[in-house]
Amino acid sequence: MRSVLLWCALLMKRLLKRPAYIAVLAAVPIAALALSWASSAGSGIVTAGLVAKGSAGGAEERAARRLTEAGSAMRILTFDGEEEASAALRSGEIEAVWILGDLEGTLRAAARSGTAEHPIKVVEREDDPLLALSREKLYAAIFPELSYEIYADLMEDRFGETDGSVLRSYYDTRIVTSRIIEFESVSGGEDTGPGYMLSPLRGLLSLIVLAAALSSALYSIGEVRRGAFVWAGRPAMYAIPLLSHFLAALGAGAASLTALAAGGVLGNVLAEIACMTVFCALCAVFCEALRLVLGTEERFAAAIPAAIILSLALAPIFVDIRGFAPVKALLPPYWYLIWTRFI
Amino acid sequence: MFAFTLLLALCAALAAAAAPRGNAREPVRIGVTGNTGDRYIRTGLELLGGFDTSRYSLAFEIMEEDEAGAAVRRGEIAGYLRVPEGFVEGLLDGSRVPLTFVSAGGAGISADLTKEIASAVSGILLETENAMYGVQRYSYDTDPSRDWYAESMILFDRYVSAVLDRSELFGVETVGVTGSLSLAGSLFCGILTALMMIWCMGAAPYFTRRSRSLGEILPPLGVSDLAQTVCEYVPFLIMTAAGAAFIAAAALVFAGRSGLYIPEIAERGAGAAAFAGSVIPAALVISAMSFFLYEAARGASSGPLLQFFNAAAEGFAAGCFYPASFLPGAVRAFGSVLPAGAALRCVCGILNGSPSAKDAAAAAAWAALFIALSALMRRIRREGSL
Repeated sequence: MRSVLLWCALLMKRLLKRPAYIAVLAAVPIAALALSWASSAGSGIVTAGLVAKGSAGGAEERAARRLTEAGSAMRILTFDGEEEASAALRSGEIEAVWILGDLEGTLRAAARSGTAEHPIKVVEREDDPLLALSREKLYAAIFPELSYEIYADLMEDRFGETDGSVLRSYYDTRIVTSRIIEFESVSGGEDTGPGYMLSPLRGLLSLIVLAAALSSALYSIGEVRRGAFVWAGRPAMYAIPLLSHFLAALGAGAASLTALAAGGVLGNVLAEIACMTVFCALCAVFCEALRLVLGTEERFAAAIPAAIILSLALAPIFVDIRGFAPVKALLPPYWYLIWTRFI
Repeated sequence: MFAFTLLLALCAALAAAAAPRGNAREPVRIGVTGNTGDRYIRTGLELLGGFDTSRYSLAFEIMEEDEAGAAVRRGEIAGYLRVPEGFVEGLLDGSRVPLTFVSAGGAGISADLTKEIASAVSGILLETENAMYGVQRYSYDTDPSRDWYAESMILFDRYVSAVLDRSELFGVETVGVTGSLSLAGSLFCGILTALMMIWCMGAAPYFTRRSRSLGEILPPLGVSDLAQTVCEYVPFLIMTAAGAAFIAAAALVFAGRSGLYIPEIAERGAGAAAFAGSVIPAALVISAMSFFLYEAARGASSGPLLQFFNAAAEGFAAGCFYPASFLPGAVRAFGSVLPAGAALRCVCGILNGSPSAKDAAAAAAWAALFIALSALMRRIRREGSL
């Protein structure tokens, strides 16, 4: 045990003498902090410009308020006129322009006849699924106005009631105010989610841990070739490279946990540490196995981009791709990201 | 190195062969657990399944809770909807028993989109319910003998028609802004640029096996540090450009064959060979940056780590992983002046059919700066060792 600790201390000391290794570990939490700041700055998966043409306090303004005041992954910018919004669309500042003109009148007509003459003009940069989905958000914002017109029309048709104050009083007696859908994480508790900007942070950090272990394994190939550990005897000769990869990964793992805390996405601390330690061990085994199979520095180095690219594509970092189960099973970041769903 | 690049291209070709043709999309699978026996719920699910104006199709599958939880963790389904006991009764009598959408938790854009849509649906349902209760209460208050339930169901039918015909409300015009890439095109260029940066991680042995003594022997013979740096950089540039061209051609063929719709490729029919040749300005800046990083971190023990950290951090800020339009304005501005931003703009310009001399000049300027810095670093190191 004592000799293992001694080897750990020696190998760690060697790692800490590498300025680039220390620089990367120090930069990782800073980058996470910057990402956390960026996620709180104004950004959105769709940026739309809104032009509300109606009078102050009218349906257009109410709909605009619903769109701009609700927290959303879509960013809505308001513009005074169509020209200004079109210029922003042409410059690439926004991807769509939503123009709300005489909403009340056209929605009333739509509620009565069942058809509408396109009361909302939408100008989009391209025919894109995200922009099509963003229209659902716009629809939800104008729906209260449309809903009232449909209700008022039915009340006139079926009950002959046209008194606006009576209609409004019954409509506004809200029985239901709570949310109809609640969000929960599969590991329990409310799913508040880190948002799309911060969600790949954990995955990218796991790749940094893997890259640290891969770098260590690449270095070990030269050492083993030079017979650097032959004097330590047979079991130690094979164990030392593995320990070296583990320690390199562990250093990067510690920096990653700090980065997760800086990014505000760290879960239960003990569970996170346990998961990270097991992940570092898995990375060490993966890299050592790869080293033994590939043998030379050239082959191993060529496999590094392949391992990183496959992990980037198949581990659930940006997207969760289905299939390729046998390849996924070989990638340590995939397992780490699955385990952390339980934290 | 080239064998692995070839392997990557072969994997892409195999995936392309296995992928569906045309614009077919796999539906997003969502589980449904809990009180699923109710006929209203089954009808609701059928309605939702056909509720597809945005081209994102949904497939609902009735499952057991344990089975659904495991499927979410394995990434087989996007999430599941837990229908509690008394949900339908709660809808009818006004006592709220909410549905729960259980997901893996914060899985990026798809999770954010799911929440956006669920929040929109939730708002629409709330408004509809309140109006229906308003009708019921008015009916009961003014004429208790009247069938208030039937009246509210007439209103419900009108709401269903209004929601199903919602696309009629929008007069949509697509302008196709000149000079800007489509979302798919931006992602394609971003991924390609990120791949080039990651590809450079594999060049570590080329740098770690350099003889340091040569650096001390050559200057007295009149070979400057800059000349040595350029002589080492040029083969690396050729290697990187060849790898980048190969990856670009494979990516273009993959994008075309797999049914992924990238308007710039589908409409202009960009040729793989021409496109591959055109990514060279991006390879120039990426290889110079990588060369400088290898010069800064000599030795294999931290070189690939530094390369990857740089690729991840710069790639994110420049818009390689998310299109730049998804990023905040300050990050977008910062990312555009970074070397990766210059490389990305070169690739985007090529795909867009409007390569800019300004972007190529920015890439060349970055490359020159990195070469000069590498030579300077080498000189400082040599003089320090003398």
